[in-house]
Amino acid sequence: MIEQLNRQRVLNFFNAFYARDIDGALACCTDDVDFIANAPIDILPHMGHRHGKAEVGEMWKTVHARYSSMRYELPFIVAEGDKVASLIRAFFRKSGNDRIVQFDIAVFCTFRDGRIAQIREVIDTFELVQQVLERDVAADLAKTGPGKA
Amino acid sequence: MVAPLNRQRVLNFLDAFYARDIEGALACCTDDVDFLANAPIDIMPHMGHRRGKAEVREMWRIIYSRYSSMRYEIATTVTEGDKVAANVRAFFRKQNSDRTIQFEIAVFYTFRGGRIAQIREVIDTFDLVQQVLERDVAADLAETKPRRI
Repeated sequence: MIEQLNRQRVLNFFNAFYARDIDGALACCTDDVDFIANAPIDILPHMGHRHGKAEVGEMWKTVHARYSSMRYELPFIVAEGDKVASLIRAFFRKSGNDRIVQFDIAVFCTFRDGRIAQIREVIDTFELVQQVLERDVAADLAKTGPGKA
Repeated sequence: MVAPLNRQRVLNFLDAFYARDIEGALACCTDDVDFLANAPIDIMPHMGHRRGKAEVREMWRIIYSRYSSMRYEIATTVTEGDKVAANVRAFFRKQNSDRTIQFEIAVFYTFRGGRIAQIREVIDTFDLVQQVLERDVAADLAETKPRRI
């Protein structure tokens, strides 16, 4: 069934990306692959909206340059028709100091002709920023923010 | 087939929750429903891990007390067997200021016996915090971040 095929294709894609095989990951995508991962671009300028293999490849090169190794865990994956949704726990080791950043990513992939045409990510961005900057941003803001949120 | 049923059950659950019908939303869940939405609890102490209807009810009551109205849009759902994933755009109107915050939530549901037994959310938390606190946190942090991320 197509769902099983597409699920395996997504696993192949994750395995390639987390093994730092950019070309292997891009081979899983259409030439006009559309990628969106909202993130504060003042802090993470390489994130955001990327269109086509060149732009997506460039973004991944930036990510791989900053982290010496990466791995993931996959607690949840569902496939329906041309869509696959995954919940990933990502672990990135920083190139600079070997510290590991871990955060949740929800990944929604849409397929076209057996390749990933659209990738939509939702990231626990506050946690990511705190770990990337190695700052307790929540504590800083709690001191100065409104009493309730 | 169970997948279309579960998709409709998720829509019924979302309709109830966003209509502020706590008991209607809880009726869609098992008694031991397990809810997890990571968020900076220094800023949003009501979020995090909640187990069972009483704890989830309490969390939702706090949310309802802070927002006068809520609505949602679904970008995508992916359903397979006892699992449903949804990409939701949420719109919450603040009680105090009538401002509307909007943010993205990826939700992963697991069913048991026709009810939702597990809810796992991934939220674009940085964007959420900025809107809740009405602060350009990204700009503040960008001034003090390390050179390389």
